[in-house]
Amino acid sequence: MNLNQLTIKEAQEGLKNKKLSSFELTKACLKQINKNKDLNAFITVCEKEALEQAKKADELISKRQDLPLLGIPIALKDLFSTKEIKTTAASKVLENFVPQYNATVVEKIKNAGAIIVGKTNLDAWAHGSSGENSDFGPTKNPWNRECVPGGSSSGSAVSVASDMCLAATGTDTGGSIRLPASFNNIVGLKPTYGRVSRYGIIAMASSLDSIGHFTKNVEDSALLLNITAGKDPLDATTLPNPAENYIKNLDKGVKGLKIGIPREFVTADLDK
Amino acid sequence: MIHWKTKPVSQLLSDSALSYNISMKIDVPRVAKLANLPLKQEEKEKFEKQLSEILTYVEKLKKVDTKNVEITSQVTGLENIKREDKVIPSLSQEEATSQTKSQQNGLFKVKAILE
Repeated sequence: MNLNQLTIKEAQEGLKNKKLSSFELTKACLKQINKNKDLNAFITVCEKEALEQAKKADELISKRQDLPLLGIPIALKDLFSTKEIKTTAASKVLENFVPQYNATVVEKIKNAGAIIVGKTNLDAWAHGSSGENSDFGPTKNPWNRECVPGGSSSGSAVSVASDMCLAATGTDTGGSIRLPASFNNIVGLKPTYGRVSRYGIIAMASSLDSIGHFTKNVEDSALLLNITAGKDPLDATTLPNPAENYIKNLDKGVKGLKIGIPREFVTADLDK
Repeated sequence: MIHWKTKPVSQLLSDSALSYNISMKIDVPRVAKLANLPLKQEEKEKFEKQLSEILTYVEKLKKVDTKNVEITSQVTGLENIKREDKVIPSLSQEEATSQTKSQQNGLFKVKAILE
């Protein structure tokens, strides 16, 4: 098993027990990105910066610094403003745009010690649900390059499904996380509107945009939501009630819970 | 369940642009002028047709029985979120204008919009 195939939780244990370094982990992810350029999952890869950050993370780990995502390689949908890293929204209009500030979620993820490996491809301005509508070319589905990966958060889903990073951020307005998560066989989360700050994320429809992420399992998804959720003074639509500890109840199972499946979603038109 | 003191959906639909006569033509040249988009004659005709088709499509919503459906204009119930009127740190003028190709004396330079 390669390091880039680890979940966040597994990598954290490896880092803690000195079985691996963030540098090795980040390098493995970058190698996987470079090996699969044909998937077109990334618009920008931050190779040099990521390796520098990883070295710093390793120093902090050796000093027993405890941060929730310390040394973990993460990719960001190219809709999230990143200070000093080009942010295009997959449109040629923003081809050379380098934001002056970080989106709140980016700030939170960085403060948690994560390594930003790059910015992922998407349907331009998040307008699309197949991943084909990008000014930088379509994203391909790693399971079958003849199939669409789903969108708009196409590159983020593909980057997680093909182990180019341990997790990636996404946005969902009308299915932009749920579709690609499903098409790529990974865990995607569209949180309740207002639970995660939209500040610094290029809007698709402000009263509907939900900020979430892709991970390899549910535990990692909860772990990441613990970092991103919460009120943000810079986004007046964020909910004032404090974010919960989403990891707390993970082992309790689903007994007593009801799962709703809209009948209209499971029609005869779906194949297989 | 959040209840909103507002009109039922059916009435809002009939109040809104959806009640436009579907045969109504959209003034494409005017919209293009406002959007500063240069359009060729064949494009004007193409978009006029497409836009009117969209209106016709949206008209279908009128067939839905929404008599007992309450409108959901937002889901969090938050209203009038304010903050203290206090100066907080922000971007410097230099940072704010760093991404424009066209600036003058630290200001964004744009085409005149008033004559």
